Amino acid sequence: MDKKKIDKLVEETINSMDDAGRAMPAPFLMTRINARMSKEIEKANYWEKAIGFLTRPAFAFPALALVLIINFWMMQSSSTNTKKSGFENQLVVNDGYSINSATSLFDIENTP
Amino acid sequence: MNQANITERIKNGDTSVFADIVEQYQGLVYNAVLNIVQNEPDAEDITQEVFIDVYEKIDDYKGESQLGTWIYRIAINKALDFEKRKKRQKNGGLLKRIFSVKEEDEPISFYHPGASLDNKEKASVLFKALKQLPEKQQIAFTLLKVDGLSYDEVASIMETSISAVESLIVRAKSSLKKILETYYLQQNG
Repeated sequence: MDKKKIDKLVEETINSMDDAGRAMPAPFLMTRINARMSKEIEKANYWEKAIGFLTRPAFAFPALALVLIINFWMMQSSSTNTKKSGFENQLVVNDGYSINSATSLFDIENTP
Repeated sequence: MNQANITERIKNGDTSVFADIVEQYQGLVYNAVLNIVQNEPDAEDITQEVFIDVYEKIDDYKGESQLGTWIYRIAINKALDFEKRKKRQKNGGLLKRIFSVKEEDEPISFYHPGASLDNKEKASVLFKALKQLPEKQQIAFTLLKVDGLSYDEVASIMETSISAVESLIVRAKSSLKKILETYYLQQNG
């Protein structure tokens, strides 16, 4: 195809929307907008209700107290475990190095 | 429509004024969005979002520009955001790119419902070429040549000067010529 023909085609393509009509959305746009807005309002209301329930003193204070009690209980139980486990660790070390077994001179001499 | 008291009327719960706005500007919004996203169902969705935004943000409208200009801006920004989101989703993350099979390119042909029957194919080629332009050139060209707005209106919507719009149009046309020349040369072997 020669240059002139391509130039003409390019020009026609660039101007192809000059006499175009306006596209229109499907009918009842307002109805669909209203439906969407009510859906969004419902969604927002759901979260508002949920947040409202969670921040209600009748729910919030007992929940906070429960969290504190669990926290305190966990701390208590972990400190008991630490003491116990310290003793257990010593036993493991002793075992590992055979400290309590018959390795002393007295033990060896008296072993049958 | 008297623009001065539109905000007041909507704030006072007068839904009829909002229905009037939708009625009056739906074509404008739908076309502006459609010319950018080039897909009718997406344009419908975004048009609805635009009007919901208009309803929710009507307090921000101070009457400094025409109501139509303000709505146009919301529509264009929404459409551009949608395009950016789509591009991000298409590119995906690094892992997606490594492990996924290469997706085929999206269908290239968009037939604008307003284009005349004689020009349907050429308009489709034009829209494909428009996608390759930088964002500002694409918007300026679309508003001026497709939506048929004046330089003044385009400048107002794009919040720039008329000379800047003129420059964008010159550059857009020059880029389009190059893209279309290459396209037609390839088409004709």
